[in-house]
Amino acid sequence: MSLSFLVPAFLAGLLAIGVPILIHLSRRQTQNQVPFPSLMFLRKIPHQTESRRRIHRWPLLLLRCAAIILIVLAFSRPFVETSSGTSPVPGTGDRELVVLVDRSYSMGVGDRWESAVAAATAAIDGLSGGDRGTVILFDANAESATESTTDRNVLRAAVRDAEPGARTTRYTPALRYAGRILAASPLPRHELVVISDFQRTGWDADAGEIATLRLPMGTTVTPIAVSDTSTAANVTVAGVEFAREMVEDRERVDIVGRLTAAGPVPEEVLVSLVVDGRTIETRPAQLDGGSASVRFNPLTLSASGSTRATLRIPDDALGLDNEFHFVLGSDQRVGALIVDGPGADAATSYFLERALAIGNDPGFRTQIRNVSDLQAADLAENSVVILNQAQLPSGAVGDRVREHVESGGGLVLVLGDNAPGSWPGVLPSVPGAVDRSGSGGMAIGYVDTGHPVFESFAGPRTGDFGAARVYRYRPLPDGGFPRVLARFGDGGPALAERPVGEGRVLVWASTLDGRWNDLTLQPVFLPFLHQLVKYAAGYTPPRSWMTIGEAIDVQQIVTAGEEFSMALTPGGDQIPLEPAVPLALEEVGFYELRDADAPDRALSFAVNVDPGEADLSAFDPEEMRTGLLAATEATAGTSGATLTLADRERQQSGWWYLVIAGFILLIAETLFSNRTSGKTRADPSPAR
Amino acid sequence: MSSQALDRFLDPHVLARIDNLELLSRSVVGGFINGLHRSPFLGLSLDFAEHRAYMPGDDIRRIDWRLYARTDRYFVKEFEADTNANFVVLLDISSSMSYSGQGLSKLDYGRYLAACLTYLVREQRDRVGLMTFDNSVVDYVPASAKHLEIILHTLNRIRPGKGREGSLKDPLLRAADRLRRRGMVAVISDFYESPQAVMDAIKPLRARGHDLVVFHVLDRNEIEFPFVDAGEFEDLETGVQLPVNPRDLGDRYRTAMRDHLDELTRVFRENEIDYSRHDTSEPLDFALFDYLSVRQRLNRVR
Repeated sequence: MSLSFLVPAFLAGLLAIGVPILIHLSRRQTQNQVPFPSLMFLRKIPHQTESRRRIHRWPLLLLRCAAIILIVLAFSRPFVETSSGTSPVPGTGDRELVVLVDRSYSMGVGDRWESAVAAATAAIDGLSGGDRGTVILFDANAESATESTTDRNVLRAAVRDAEPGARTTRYTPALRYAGRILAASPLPRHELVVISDFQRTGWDADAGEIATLRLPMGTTVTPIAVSDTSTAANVTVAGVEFAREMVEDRERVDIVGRLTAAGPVPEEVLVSLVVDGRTIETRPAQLDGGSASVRFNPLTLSASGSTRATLRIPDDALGLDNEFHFVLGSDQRVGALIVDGPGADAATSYFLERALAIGNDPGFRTQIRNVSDLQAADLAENSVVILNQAQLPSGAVGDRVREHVESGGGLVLVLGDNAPGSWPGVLPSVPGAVDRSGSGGMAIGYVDTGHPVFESFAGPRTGDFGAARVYRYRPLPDGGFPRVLARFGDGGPALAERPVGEGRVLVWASTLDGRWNDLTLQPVFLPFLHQLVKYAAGYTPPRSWMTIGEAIDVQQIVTAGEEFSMALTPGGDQIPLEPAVPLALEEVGFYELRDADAPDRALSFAVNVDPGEADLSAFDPEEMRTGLLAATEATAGTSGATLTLADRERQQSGWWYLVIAGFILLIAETLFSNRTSGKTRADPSPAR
Repeated sequence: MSSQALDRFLDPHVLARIDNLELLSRSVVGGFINGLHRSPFLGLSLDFAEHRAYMPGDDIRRIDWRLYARTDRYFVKEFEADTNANFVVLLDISSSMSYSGQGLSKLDYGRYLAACLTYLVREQRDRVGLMTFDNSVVDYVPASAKHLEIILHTLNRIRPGKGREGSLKDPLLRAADRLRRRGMVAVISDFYESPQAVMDAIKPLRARGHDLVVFHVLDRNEIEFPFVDAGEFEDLETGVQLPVNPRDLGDRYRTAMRDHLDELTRVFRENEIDYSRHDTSEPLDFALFDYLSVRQRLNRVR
């Protein structure tokens, strides 16, 4: 048990004790002036100054000094360190060693991994007696390869069996894990060995979290760098871009590969495009300024299924980033089924069809049916059903439409002359049309720019809905829909939405054929319609590749209604798929989803490494040591829990009692001083 | 001077004691008050002293015609004059005299003493005078039978003050110059000078043939030094301050003071100067009694 101070600098205030001492030595003389007829005899008597400067009124002086001491101690924030809360004494006793070994894919460069294994083994060999050790392998995650053990063979085996992975480097999870192990250790000495190539990208990514790390007080941090700058040259296939277009019902894709380079790399690199396992084209890429792009001839995709493709460059120091895999789906367009009402003519869906025929990102695939001819099978290929001035069908077709919506599809009702139809709880009854043509029509007065349909119009000069004139509309009842996305100039709802099941229903209260309004003639019509259909379809851009380390929900990448029972990894392993359990992507290459009941049906997706790891530039390990030193100084371990000095002092709060005691002494000093001063004034110096 | 001012100095109680003392002195001497002071000069008087030869310029009325008839020579009769003597009080009013430790200040005590002496002497029909001084003569009232009130007035308006340094030599020398006629001189002071310096200052008066009576006025604090607490002791004359711890210095001070008083007593005795020491806490008539006792002894010797 020992006394410590949180702010020991305040102890310098103890020098203030000299003030009352000086006052007691000096003020006594100035206060007690004794007139005397003549100093003739006193001057003749030899005496020493020290004897004249004797302290008087000792109790008052001691009272004042004690008050000052207590208040100074209070400001220094004292606390008692008990033996259970003290940090280990450095240099004595057994040692708890945690070895962090970087296994990110950058460790595969040159002989980095071999160096890391050797360094880790050397650190383990340094254990002796009752020392304990733990090996933690880390990349973006931290995994304990062993429990804390005194068996060095176990530790060596853990290091020997490890190998670099395909993930990126993150230091914080591993350091936090190590901190917990060290804090829980009962051993008096703590040591942390970090073996890594100390990639700058990983350290920068952790910059905001380093300050939150806590290591037990007295922990020795030893960073061991295994990076070799001579092998740092690396070219990476960082990504790929596509430009799709439909040519005679076949989709054609322009593929542009992007490359990045670091270190002394060659000026030109050959890039090969491999499609379904066959190299179909190789083009040179000129590395200029550390990056390059290479365009391949357009690739025409098959009418169905998906196409696996890979961009590949020759081997260099780091192999994993020399390939970039992606999958091109056969048809990425959004299917929209336009259902016209009875008596519709060609003009009824003209604007809809024409507007949806434009655009490639994504493209729209439209199909027009009359409500009287609508079949349940028509819904299969389309994500959105647009009832263009047609009632919701009754009977089996109507039920199919409802099922379609409830399972995630979209339904857009363009009311016009026709009532919405019957769907209790979803579609309210709508009265007859309101005619505003007599007053010259009205504008669309409000759009909800916070909604995905209108969010692209939130910025300035992104479209003016107020330019459109609306002459007739059917008044939707207020409260009939949970959310109104747009309103006419008179306040009536123009566009309303109701979620149903996993899908959604949107109702447009006028027409989209140019008869009841001129919105179709406005520049905003095309983007508005595209956004409306994409939102109704629940469209998300398809991902042509994933990044390793992700955990994906399979249901989000499969088409509605499709089910798969297992995933086949690039290495050939089979992973059974379970509902609500994400699939962790641990390998680079092409995964394949399959269903045991339908062996012919499969869905592929590609997984690549994070190209950020390809930047092999390193930081100074001393940065880490310094950062962790600060974390260590601000930390004290106690009973497995980590308490800072401030926390411990705050728990004890001894300063509060010192302040109270100090002020009590000051009050006593005031009373005592007044009493003695009054007595002194009333009592002349000579003793009668 | 108003009667109130007179009453201030002539305390009836003090005067009553002095009257008793006067009666006592009369019974001892067997004469009246004016008979107590025998004049040192020869002059016109009823008591014949001697004859001397007539000198040109002598008053022919003083020629003893009977003796001329017997001797046929001119002789002049001289008588031992029982004249009024001069009595002058020299009062030290330096700042050190304004100290009051216990009871009256030394200055008040001194002027009360001066007033009583003057009054007493005037009752004896002697002429009275006064000189106050610090390091020089401040006020001087020549001796006269009519100057009692002036003297009392002068004593009354003495004000104590700081920074008034005292010195005996110069004022007493000037007093010796002014007091040409022999008489009685009473010196009232606290004598904060070395005994030799005091003696050197008084010698000129002595050389003029004056009968000297020295009253040494002190406060009891000056003698006993009863101080306990340390403090800055301030010299009332010079204003100089000196840190003093009485616990350390008290004994040595008292020893020094005692040696000083003993030495003063010795030098005054050796020079046949009446010396009496009084502290301000003593009744005033003690000093008067001492004075009359001394006078009585002197008359007896003479």
